[in-house]
Amino acid sequence: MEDSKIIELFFARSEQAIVELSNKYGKTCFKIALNILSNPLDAEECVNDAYLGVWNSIPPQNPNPLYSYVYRIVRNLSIKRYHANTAVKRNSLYDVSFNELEECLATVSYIDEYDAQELSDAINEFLGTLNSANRIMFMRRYWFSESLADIAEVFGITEHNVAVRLYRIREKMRKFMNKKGVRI
Amino acid sequence: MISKKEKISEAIGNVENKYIEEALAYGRDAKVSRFRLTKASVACIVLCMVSLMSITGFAMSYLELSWKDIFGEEQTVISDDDEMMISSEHITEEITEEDNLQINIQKVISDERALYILYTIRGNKGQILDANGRFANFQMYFPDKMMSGAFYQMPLKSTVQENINELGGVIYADWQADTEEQELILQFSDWQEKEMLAPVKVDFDLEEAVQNAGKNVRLPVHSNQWVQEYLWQPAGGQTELPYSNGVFLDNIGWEDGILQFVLRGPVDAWEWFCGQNFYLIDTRTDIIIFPASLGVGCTPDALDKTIGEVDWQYFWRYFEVEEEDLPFLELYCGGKEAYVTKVTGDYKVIIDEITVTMSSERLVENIVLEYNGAPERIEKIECSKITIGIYFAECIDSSAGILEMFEAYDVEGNILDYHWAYTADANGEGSLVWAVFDEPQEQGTINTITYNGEVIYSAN
Repeated sequence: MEDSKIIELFFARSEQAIVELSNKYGKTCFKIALNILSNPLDAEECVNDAYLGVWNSIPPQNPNPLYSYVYRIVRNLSIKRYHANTAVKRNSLYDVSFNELEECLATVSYIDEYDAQELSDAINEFLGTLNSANRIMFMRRYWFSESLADIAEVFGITEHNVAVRLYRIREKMRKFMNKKGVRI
Repeated sequence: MISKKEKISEAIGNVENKYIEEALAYGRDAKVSRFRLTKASVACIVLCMVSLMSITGFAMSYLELSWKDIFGEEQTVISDDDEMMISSEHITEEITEEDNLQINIQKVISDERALYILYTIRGNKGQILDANGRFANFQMYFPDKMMSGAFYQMPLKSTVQENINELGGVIYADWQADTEEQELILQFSDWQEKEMLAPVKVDFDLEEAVQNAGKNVRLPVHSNQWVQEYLWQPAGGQTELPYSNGVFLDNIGWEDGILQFVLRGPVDAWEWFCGQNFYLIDTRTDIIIFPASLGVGCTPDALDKTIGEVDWQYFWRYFEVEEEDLPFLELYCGGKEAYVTKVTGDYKVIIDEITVTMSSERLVENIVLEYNGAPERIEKIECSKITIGIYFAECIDSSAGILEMFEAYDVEGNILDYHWAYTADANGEGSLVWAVFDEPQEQGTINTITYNGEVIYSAN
């Protein structure tokens, strides 16, 4: 079903909207949540909570495209759940991928002075400097928390190659962020 | 307080829709991408490489690095005249305890303050090396001379075409060059790569161990001395923890909500002792409990003076758990990425004659300025293609913000990209404030240098 039709169902307050949303985007939603939480039950609950969030926000929202709107909600809820757990599950792909970034940005001291939105703006700017392949790889690793193996499969390259390219992207990011921090 | 990781996570979550869509579209529309190689073509490449290796032999390096590999493709400032090519005649000795890797020092550039060394490493037995890897230990020094500054590995640009078993590297070092040629020693040991370690349950009954340990088995000394209220007595336990390379669970005890582990292992295993390398899982809830971040360690002679110097130590870590939880707790190691030694061996390269390959020009001399409430004399300001050096006659206190006070501009008034550093002279009589350019600059690029906004050098 087209996104516009699904949104019409939401506006009509038809519960079929959730069914159609799940049919179309449920699999990816679940994968995003599972990548972050590493626990199928938690992931399923987060996806269901996300559907409820979509139900409560459409209307009045009329998001276009629908999928990035839903995926954002799933990601945010999953991360919230992740942090709500009393202990960090070290084998979560989310944890692994953000440890990489945290390590990369460890020397960018002024990052503490930035709020998340300012940092988002800087990351948006950084993404604009990357070529398409590198940008996609970055997003799949750090937005969707995909494993190296999954990314390697999508790109048709080896995991080793993905790791090398991500390392270089992180180095570019570190340098970019450091330059942003230079006060003249 | 929100952690840096959470902040980065939130910030990335807020990136523009177009990037999310682009990433999704790639997976959806381009599953079979142009990057994909068929199995047959991979096989061909491997065959070609094997043939090439058999022709050239191991003595030659495939990967020829250039200064563009660290400074960028646009770099045209460093020419052949500025570099020193390192060949076998410059290397007096190459010591390799195990012949698993070949380290090939290719080129050096240096001025009186900074030194860059380009090198490659390759597996002699066809090992595939991960560019994210590292040497477990890397040292460089000039024999009989004080090493004046830092040295570290730098990343290469992403355009470097590395082979599957050969990587390029660059070492940067601060140095205070002599007028004479200097001998340089580089030492590398054990190539390591990050690996996801599978979680391994330690065959160990926590409750039984605690019961056997008894209560209040405290060390008679060191109570109330360190981060913990008391330290539990070592008992010679023989349970080796997985992935630890010789760390044993020596004893374990519980009292007042604190489960304390006494560990025993090599003195060089600090990183392992101190990290989150082991953890408990509560089987009722699957919640993972990591040890508290504080810990303490000592060699045994600190506990018993009759024990001489040994190459192992004790280390204490603790968990906050209740006694009734003990029957449900299991001990695990792994479940995280860690550096694992992939290629063993110690490698030592001695380069005979390291010297300044590009001399600085003197911009100005004998300037007096006020710093930290007192007059200070600058003997000279020098500049090369890679650094600026400001030499003070006296040793100055760097903590009063000297590094932020200098700025250098080109003829159009643009500030140059560099990072400032400070070095006290080895004999304590002078000091050096200097800047390393992010990208090499042609001599003559510096038009103006200011101190506290006032011009102290102008080319005009």
